[in-house]
Amino acid sequence: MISYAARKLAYAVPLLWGVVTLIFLLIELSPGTYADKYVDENMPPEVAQMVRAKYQLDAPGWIRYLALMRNLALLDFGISMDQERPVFAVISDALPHTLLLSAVTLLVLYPAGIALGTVQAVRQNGPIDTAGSVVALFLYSMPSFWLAMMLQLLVSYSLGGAIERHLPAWLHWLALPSSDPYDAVGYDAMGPGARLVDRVRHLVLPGVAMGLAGAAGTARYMRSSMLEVIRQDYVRTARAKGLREGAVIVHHALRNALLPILTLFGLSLPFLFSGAVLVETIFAWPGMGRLIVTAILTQDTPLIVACFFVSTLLVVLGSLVADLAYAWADPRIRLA
Amino acid sequence: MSPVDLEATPPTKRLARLGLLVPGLGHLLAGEFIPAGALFLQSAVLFLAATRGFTRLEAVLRPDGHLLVHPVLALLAWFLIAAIVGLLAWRQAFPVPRAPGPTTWTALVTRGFAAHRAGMLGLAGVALLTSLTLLTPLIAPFDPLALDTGRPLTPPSWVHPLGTDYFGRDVLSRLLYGGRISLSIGFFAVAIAATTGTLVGAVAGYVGGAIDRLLMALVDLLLAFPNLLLLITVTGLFRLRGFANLALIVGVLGLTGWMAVARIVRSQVLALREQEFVQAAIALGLGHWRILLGQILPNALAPVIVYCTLAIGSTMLSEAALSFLGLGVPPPTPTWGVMIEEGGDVLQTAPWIATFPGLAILAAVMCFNLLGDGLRDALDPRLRTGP
Repeated sequence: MISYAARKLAYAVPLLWGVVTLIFLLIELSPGTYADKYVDENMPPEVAQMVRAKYQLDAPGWIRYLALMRNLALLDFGISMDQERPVFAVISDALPHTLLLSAVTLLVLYPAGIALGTVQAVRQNGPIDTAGSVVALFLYSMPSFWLAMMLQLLVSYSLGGAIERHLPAWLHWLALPSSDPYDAVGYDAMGPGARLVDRVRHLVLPGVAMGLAGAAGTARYMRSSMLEVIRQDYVRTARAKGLREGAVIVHHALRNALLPILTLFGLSLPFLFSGAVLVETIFAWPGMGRLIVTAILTQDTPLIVACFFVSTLLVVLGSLVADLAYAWADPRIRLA
Repeated sequence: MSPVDLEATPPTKRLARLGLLVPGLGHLLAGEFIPAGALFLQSAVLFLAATRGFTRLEAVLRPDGHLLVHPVLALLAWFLIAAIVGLLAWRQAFPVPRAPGPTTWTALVTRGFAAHRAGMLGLAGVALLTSLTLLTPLIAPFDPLALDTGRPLTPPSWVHPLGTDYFGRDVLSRLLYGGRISLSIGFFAVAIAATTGTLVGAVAGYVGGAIDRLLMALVDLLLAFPNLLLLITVTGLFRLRGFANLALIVGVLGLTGWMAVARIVRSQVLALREQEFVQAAIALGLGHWRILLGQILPNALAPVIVYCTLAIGSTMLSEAALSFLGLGVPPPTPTWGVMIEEGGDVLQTAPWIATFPGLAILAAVMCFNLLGDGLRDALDPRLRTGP
């Protein structure tokens, strides 16, 4: 298993090389560079040259490409042009925010999806099944950012406004904030408990917005996986032993039906990242998604390259996690 | 229709077949004045819609300096639709007696699809959306770009059924015109993706060897990017003006969507290559292109059609996401994504601006998903999943 993991990780090297090369090529081909922000025609050429030299944009493309490759091989991501501090520091500021949001998303996504899929399968072709399919289709066909906006509108503005108008002040924390990661006023002055509550309140809406669309997809998988398991002989045996239906479903069927979902989990990790772009923009969440968009719009080469480096690593790690988790859960699978 | 059939037809009826060229003419020649009148009336309405549509369409798109659909193409589309409607009416009036024979694949698929309720619902929805967007110039109450058609941020009312936006533009008109652009982007991008993917997949599967490995390595590399990130990167780095940006977006959406098609086609071609009818074609001495295009691909396309139907929906979602980030079609051209983005700034005071385009996307994507599911169940029962 260890050698399998090592080989899978070794496969990441050519993939990372390909991704970084493609991104570098795209940045090179695109019109303009970061230095254009400070260079204009009236400038003496030597000053313009100095500006370009400051961002190491004066060398020919292939030299910069080789330098980038050497630096990446040494895991040196360079200095962000726009933020003027090491890319490593920029990313280590943003990544925890995205990981936190992703964790909350997963907490919404899997329980909701698994529960819905299981109920649908148990009540196959009944009214609950049909209603579940319709709800899943709805969530699946919805733009995630629009769902986020509607949650802001309904939960934060309408419901939150009503709570603040009609309930006593000590219940006002029930009104969920619509954006910004923390209450701008007084976050620094809060105690640890109050900070935690504040964080949770700010995480609920973005987490739900990101999780619901994924939950719809998970429910679909879960339903078909559960339908397959529920027809097997050992489930019938469990029923014949006189176990209650709930016990048969939860203790016997569910465990095996969850196997495909494990694979899905690993493969969904990188997509949390791209889903975060939209939701982070709406909820002003200072994570990787917003960082990537700003980096691209400012043509901040080192930062763009580093963001894609991280996202590709997540793709490889996600698929490794999926394989390993599957092998751990199902002893019939042998990783060769 | 077989030649034997034609000879058995009386001369007047044969003359009436000319009617297929001009809807209603056939009925007129056969002396059936009521259906003839109905069809002529319908053609006139369609023609009027088309011509009136041009002036409105030009007015819409001229500020950007571009036309989305060339008038001649639009006219051709109208005649095609009129001809199909006419043909259907003709067939209804004179059903062709069908000789009992083996059930064809087409008949099986049609019967399977007609029995699929959700799929039929999706088809009806897609047909409704398409005809709404085609008839937009007739339905839309205002010019979608006209400012101050009413007071800014008016809530929905009789004059403005979906309210007005920050610049006093009519939201319903913008929604209808935006639907044209959003749907066209979906169709064209998927057409590009399907063509590229089919070509790459077919070549990789048929030729095999080093070329296969190289192409599949490229597919793996491109699939390593989360799709939205790749889209954001390309559109963010190359921001062009006006029509060029619209073309860029369609191109980028198409060229980032072909990988899945390539994989599907490749696996199909690999399986079909070994079948007897392909061996027979080789034995007959047919050329490689003829075998690939004439023998293998027609049999490999069913899953591609299903995938593409579903992909139109997801492409529309991607386009909306790009527009929402300000990387899509530049304003003032309306698309559903742009409208949601504009509504986001005034979400609290004027929620209708962002709500309705979102509902429109939801409805459109849902119809394409239903249609795709129905087609999958009808075309290939082996692929059947879920309800």
